[in-house]
Amino acid sequence: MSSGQRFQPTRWSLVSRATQADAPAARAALDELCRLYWQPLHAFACRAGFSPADADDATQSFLAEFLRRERFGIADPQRGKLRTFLCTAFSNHLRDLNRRVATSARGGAVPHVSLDAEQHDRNSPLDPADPQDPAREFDRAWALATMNAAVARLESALAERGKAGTLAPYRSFLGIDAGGSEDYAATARTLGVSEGAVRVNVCRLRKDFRAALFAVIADTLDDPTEEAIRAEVRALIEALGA
Amino acid sequence: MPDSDYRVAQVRSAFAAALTGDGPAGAWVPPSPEALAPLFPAYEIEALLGRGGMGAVYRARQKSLDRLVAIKLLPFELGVHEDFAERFRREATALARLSHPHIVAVHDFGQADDGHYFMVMEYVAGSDLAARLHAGPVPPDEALAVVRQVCEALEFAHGQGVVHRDIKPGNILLDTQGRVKVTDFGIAQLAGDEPRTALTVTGALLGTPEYVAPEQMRPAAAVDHRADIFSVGVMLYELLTGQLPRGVFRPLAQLVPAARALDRVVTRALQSEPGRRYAGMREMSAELAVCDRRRRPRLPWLAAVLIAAALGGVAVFVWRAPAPPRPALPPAPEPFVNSLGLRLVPAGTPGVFFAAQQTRVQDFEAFAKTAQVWPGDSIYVNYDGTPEGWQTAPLSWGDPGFPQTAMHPVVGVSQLDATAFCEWLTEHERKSRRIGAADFYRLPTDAEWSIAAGLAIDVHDPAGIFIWRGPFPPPPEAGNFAGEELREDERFARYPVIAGRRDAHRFTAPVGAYPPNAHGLHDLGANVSEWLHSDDPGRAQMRGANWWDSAASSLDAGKRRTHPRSMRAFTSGFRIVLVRPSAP
Repeated sequence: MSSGQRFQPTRWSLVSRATQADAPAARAALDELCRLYWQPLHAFACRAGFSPADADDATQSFLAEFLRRERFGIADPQRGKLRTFLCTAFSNHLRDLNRRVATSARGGAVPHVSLDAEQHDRNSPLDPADPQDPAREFDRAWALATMNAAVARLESALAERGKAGTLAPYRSFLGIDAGGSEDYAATARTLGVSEGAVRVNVCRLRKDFRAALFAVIADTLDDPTEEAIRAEVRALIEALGA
Repeated sequence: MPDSDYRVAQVRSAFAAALTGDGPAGAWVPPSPEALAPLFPAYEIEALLGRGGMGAVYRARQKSLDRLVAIKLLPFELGVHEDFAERFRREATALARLSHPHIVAVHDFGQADDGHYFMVMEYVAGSDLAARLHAGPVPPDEALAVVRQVCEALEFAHGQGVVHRDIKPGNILLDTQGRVKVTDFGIAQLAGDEPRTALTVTGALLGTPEYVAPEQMRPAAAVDHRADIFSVGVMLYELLTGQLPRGVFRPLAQLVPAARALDRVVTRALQSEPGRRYAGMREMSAELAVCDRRRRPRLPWLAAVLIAAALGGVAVFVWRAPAPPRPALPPAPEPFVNSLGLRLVPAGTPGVFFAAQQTRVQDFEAFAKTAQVWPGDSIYVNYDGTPEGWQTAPLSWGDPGFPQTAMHPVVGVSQLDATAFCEWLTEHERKSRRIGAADFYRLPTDAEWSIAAGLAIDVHDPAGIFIWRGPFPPPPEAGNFAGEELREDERFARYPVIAGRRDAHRFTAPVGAYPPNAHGLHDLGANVSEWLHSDDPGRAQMRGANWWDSAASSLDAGKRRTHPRSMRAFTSGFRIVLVRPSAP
């Protein structure tokens, strides 16, 4: 590793602090982030009344435009969190789309969709329950996407340490899988190891999961202090509880 | 993976647990002897003898043999850290190898049902040398007697390929007869281990700063049995003077005139350069024996002659003896050809096999066909060689903007792509049982790459040396760099190439077009820059110059390029390594 490099940029700080000179790095980082958080944007659009197919198009067009804009000359550390930034930007994008739809096909067969729409699509892959607010739905989907990313990161970290299969028997202990039991004795019997070994592994994996989760979240923050990361975890918990 | 796979409530509690589940490990309270009893039915747990940062020690009676033993317990929270569990295992393994009257014996090792790691050891009734030092400096005769026993124990351990690395008064037990027992092999280095320094990956110091040899403090420096010689030197000085030999320390003769004869021993043991210390414990022992003999001038005449003869004999033997036994070199592992036809060869790091060639277009194609790869819509190109010249172009690894065949190295791939490639190949070859369940592919680490290139592990940037070990510019066979041939492409007409150099490859060269290095690796340091393994979520480094490089600073063997892991450029590719933990 290179020495003397004190500030470790996150993917989002690369984007939000970028100047023209480091546009390449910023663009690559943004590209990666958009790949991870495509689903929340899609959920937002669905909740805002777009059909799944239209939501696909809206998300796609937003990302394409967003990614190609390359306005990295304007460094803006005030952009803060990627989550709030994307939510606002996407909301504006949908308004623009609506406006375009409304002007070009007023009175036609194209459905008029509103961000404050009361209706929501019951065929959405997401939990169709309340809340109906697209922004809240976005946050909720963001939390779930964060979980996905954290689990993927944990799995790849384990694989890199040559422990690819380690997680599977412990998924329910970590809250990754629904169902299953947190029965140490039963798991020990299944795996043919001592209960103590199971306890240690669960404890170890919890620590690893925490590191993975924090790393995933850090990448969406401009200044990922421990406190900022914790605050974001709390915000995501809240989003899930709504 | 669809989100419905996760129940919202569970994700919520997983996040909540992540917020709370990080209490400090210092909260561990050793179980009471009563609480411990059900976990060790074969023993009567008598008393908690003490606890330290690394665990607690109990006195117990082994019922079957009616003997006293010591049970050492690793705090639960530390057992959870693989680093600490590994240290504990290492100590047990080291001790199990060492059956010696001056080394504490280990009887058993394992994990109790409640998750605690434990070790059952020989019980030594008495105290330790640190406690003895509290009472003040030790008379020279006594110090000599103690240190000679320590030397004997370490000479034996070194002969078995074990370096203690944490010799200090607290780790020297003294039984009621004054006999020495060396203990705490928790950070010992075993034969076959890669040499490690005093710093762990997490930056925690292994060993006790006052006693460890200077090389143990240096990152990536080789540490061998001579580190123990240094520590014994520190301990001897402290025993005699009650002070630690820090900085420019005062000679023994000034502080303890009676120990003048030992000055030479201490001075030699404390040389900061390992090569200037004693070559082995046996040599140090012999010199201590000579001092011991000189300190007893009034022994009866006959006894004196006999002892002198015996010790002289030892000394003569020592001077003629070869260096202390070192672990035998393992047999050279066989090269391995993987499912893609890539040859993987040992390249200086045990258990890690380097692909002899850079990953080819055809290899990546096989991956892209079967795995889901985000194709990306552009890669970085640069036709004028200036830092501002980098721009994205709607190209990809399949078409990087210049001609390539299936046998050319793949370029325009990110570190994430390369990592995914390794994961895919691991899974594929594990399924087909071409590699073992514990074997896996990954990108090389910086240190592995340096070793494979024949460089020092900590080669810096810039190193002022080149991969071909001669001056700049590179000789023709050194590899594929940017020579005059590149300017034949009109996009590069004004490109700053290596003056006077012309090779057959305008852009990338087919892999293996240039002679291999000493390990049999082709194109290492040339053709395409190679992504490295990275623990950083956002960034990764590359090593090696590429077909586009022409500046001496770019061709420097120590050069690192740090980029986002997701960056794709027309100059960067990768080389894989196969990790086989069971390989010698």
